[in-house]
Amino acid sequence: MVVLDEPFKEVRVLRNYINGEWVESASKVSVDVVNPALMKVIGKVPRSNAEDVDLAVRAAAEAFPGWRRTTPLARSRYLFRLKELLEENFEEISRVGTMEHGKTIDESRGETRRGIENVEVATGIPSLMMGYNLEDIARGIDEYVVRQPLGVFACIAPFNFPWMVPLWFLPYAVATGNTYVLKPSSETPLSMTKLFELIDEVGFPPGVVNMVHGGREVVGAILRHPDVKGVSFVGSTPVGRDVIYREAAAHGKRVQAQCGAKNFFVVLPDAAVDRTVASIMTSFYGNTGQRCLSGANLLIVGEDDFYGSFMARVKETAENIRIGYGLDESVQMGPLRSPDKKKKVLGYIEKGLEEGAKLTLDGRKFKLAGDYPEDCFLGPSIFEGVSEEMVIAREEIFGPVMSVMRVGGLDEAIKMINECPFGNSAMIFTSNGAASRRFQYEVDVGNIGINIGIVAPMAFFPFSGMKDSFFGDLHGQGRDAVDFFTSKKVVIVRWF
Amino acid sequence: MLNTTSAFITFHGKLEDETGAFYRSLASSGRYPEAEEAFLALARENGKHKETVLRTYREVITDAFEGGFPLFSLNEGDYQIQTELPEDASLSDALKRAADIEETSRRFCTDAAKSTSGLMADVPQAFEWVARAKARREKELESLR
Repeated sequence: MVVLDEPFKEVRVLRNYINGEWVESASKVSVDVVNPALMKVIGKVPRSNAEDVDLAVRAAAEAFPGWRRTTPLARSRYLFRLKELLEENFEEISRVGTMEHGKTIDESRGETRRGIENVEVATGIPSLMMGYNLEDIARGIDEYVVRQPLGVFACIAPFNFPWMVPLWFLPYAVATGNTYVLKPSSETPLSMTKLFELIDEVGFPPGVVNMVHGGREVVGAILRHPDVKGVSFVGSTPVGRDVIYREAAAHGKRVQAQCGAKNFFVVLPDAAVDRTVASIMTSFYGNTGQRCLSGANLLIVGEDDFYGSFMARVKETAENIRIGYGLDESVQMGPLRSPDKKKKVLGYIEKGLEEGAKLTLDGRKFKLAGDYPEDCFLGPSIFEGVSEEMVIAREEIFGPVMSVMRVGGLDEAIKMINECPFGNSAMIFTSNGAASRRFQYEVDVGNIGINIGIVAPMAFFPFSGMKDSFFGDLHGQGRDAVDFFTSKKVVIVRWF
Repeated sequence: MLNTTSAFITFHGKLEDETGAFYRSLASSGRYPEAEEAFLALARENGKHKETVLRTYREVITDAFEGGFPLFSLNEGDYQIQTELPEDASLSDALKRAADIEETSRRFCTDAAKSTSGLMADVPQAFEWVARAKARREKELESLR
């Protein structure tokens, strides 16, 4: 058992990054950042206010004219330099991620890499940002499209992927010539602080990239600020739909709100059992179930024999998952992010029992690898005998709880998925190509996995989502991001 | 117990470091002048093997976010290597010990490749590549006898 060193031991006092400088928040109020595995304070993050946001947005707005005139090639070179620094700091970034969030080191490294990949893709902006043209749209007249940046964009980031999610947006916004204001999650602000230390080292012109820590007041100020042209958000559906999408739209801003989920994982009897079980573990229990792509409802098609033997394998593997501090390399599942989040998941377990589902693996009884406070830890749970109308089958639990339902066939599985108000991802495990194609064709969700347990689109594809899982038109990452952060201007030319 | 990809990578790095140090100490001992260059070359290659696997892991860990759940666990006790040699060890003794180390490393890399085969495609491929290199090294050691 190897427990990796923590990259820092002191309590870090965080500041905002505005106009190329580290500055105190005008509010002078801060809240603790707690390592959930150790229940130890590892940072103090400012609870910034509207004044801080205004300062950051004004700095970004002032930087915009100069930055948009910086050539795309020159802008991409800032990102190339950032990419070099990210590689040099890869391991430190990953360990900070584990300390602030609780996820395992493998998961943190995956998150770090995915963030870097977005920077890599955005370095291709001289090609990605090209417009298009056509000669002779009328005799002697040509027409073309150019993409132009809009001004200041902002990101409101979630706690569960504090490093990766901001990088779905920030590199593209800056590469296309916009300037940026980021609000990290106040629960997990340390890895973004590391990013901004590296951004500072790169030497972006002052005001191009800014960071304001904080909570609701900062969010409100971003949404209302007249100089913010667009907002990217990742978080829960109620906030994304009822606050971010509506408020941003009401203030004339572009908006992309990637929200909650209830993802279905369908297993047909011809699935490759070993690999399917391994994928189920990471899908349902990876990141301790705290991701919008997590498997939530396991739908099994097949006779009693298949169901019995398959679920026995799932249960046996799940009960052997090693739980503890993510910097211990032997640990396969870390804690939930906070005691409140654990309490919420426990509430769903109680609800499942009340509704009559059978708790065949009780995550409330778990053994920790190591001597850590149990405040945020919870083992993997499995509910069998779940029906579609139960709360645990309908609501996003955001924890390590699997709801298992038996279905008569693919038709029933597809119907169930399409009746669910969420539409983030769905997975099918089978060796039947025709069934897979039908699944892909008919299921109304944004990200589909065929023998893939976590359908996390790569940086050069959009991170999709439908129905109550996404509000907006254009998604994060890849070409969608380039479209989101640019306006298309049409020029028609005639020379006499 | 090695039950995550991260644990495999760390253990592999340790094996390569210890093996490299073993060859460097043989080369610098002055007792085996006829094999000195070969030992140094093997030690350099240990560094390359460590770097290859580590770099591959870091480049593809994002593939499926599945690094924490290999198909089966390995017991690190099954892959311990013995790098100590008596002061008066002959070249033949040293080569025999080296061959044992290479065999253990090859076995570990082969097993690690199998265990991670359900997850990130490139990591098992890197382990397989290193395992093949270990087999070649075993033959090279044989030729030094």
